[in-house]
Amino acid sequence: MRSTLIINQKAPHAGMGTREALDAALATAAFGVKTGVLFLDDGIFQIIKNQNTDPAGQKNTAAIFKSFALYDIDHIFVRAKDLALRGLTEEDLSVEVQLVEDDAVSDLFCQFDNLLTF
Amino acid sequence: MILHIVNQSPFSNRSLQRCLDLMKSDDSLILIGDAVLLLSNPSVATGLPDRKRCFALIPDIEARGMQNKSDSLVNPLHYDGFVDLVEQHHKTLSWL
Repeated sequence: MRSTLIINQKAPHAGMGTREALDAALATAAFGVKTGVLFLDDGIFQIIKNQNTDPAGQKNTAAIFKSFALYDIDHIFVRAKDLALRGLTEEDLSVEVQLVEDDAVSDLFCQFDNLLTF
Repeated sequence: MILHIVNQSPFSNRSLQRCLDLMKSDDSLILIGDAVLLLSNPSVATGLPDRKRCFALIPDIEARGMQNKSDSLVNPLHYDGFVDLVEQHHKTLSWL
């Protein structure tokens, strides 16, 4: 079975990156590709709780990532160092994630057949 | 064995350093676009790979006037060399 790791590096609400990453993740999962999602750097802010995006006229990106379980995307990773650097803990995230240290992040890059960055 | 691709200036963006922090010893790095500006002062980045695993795109080097600074740090290559490099690695990873 092929596998794809979607790597999100950018904060939401500026540019189309988050939307494109979601589309890619749902499309690969729908075609039976084992799909993982990794949040690095400011990409972590895509799944932060308490987004009130109505005033800005944007979509709440955290709510969309919550639907991942329905698509059998249950491997969601967050780089532990990047989470701590932003003053956040798992409690601040709207989805259940696996925290990964740097060695494990590099291993993820090796384990998945394809890497897509957004 | 991954080919890491960086295209942002190391002076205004952390993507090169973020890449270097997660690279493994058998991975390679190619600098394209504004990332070749690293050659102006390579000490801004820590953990650069050996020259044999460090590459930069000649058209981007020349467009930015970096051609006299490049040879000791990176292997300069043209587009066809870039294609060969992609072919030689298992996968590529672009840093934004």
